[in-house]
Amino acid sequence: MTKEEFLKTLKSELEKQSISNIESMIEYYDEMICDRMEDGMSEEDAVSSMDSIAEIVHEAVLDKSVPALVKERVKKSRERAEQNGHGWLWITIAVLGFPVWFPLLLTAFILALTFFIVFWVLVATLFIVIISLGIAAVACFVATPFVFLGYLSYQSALVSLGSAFLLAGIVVLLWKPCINLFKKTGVLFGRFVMACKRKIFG
Amino acid sequence: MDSQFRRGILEACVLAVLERGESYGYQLVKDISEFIEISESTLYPILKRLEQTEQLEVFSQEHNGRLRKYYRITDAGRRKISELLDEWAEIIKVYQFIVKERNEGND
Repeated sequence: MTKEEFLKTLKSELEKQSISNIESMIEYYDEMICDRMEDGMSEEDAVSSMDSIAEIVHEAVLDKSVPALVKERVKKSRERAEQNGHGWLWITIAVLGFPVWFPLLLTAFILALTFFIVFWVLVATLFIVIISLGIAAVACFVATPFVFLGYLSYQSALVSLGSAFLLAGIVVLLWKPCINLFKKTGVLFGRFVMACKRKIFG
Repeated sequence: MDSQFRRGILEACVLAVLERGESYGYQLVKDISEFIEISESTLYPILKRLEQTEQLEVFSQEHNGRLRKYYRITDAGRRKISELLDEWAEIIKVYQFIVKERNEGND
């Protein structure tokens, strides 16, 4: 191991143990290795003649002052207590707040359901209108000869035939855009529902 | 050896070496390890503690193009050595007493 590697590993190990004054410790071992190398050792030998990193870290942990150790312990237990405390606090709030949050949640759910139903009713209505226009067109077309025979009038038959073409034209014109519109809004609606689901359930 | 006791002894050794003249980490390890086993990782906390309690002072000096830390004993450090020697004188008396009692018991 080179000096750089040794010091780098040592530093990261000391950081894991939250030792204070790591920099001065690194300087100290840097100096020790340099002095050994000046004494005639190779870099490799100088590094391997040092105590192992585990031993150094062990010594450093032992040397943490008692107040520092106590502070650390107190901090840890306080954190734990806070975590537990918050857990209980949330449960208490959830239980006590039931009369408030449950109706709110229910309202939100019913509102969402209402929007859903209204949306699909709108879709259905538009399609029913288009389909009825189509049926009317066919009816007018089929009725044309009967009108001609019944009234014996060119004009009435022409009106009937014209209406059939007009209605069929409207249906053909509206069909594609309506399908596209509902496909798109359907996709948007689906995305919105998925986004809500992700927000709530993660 | 009890680790606390060992630390006390090592502190006294460091101070004793420094009383002879200022020194640096590696030299201290070499000087002291002639008498008692000491490694860099045990020396470091001792130096820190002696520095915190102002029994020694630290200064950096250039050496071969790098900075080396040197340690110099203070008056507080010298007083500490005499205190420790006094304590050990007492311990030696106790030691002799225990050895004598045991010998007499055995006779």
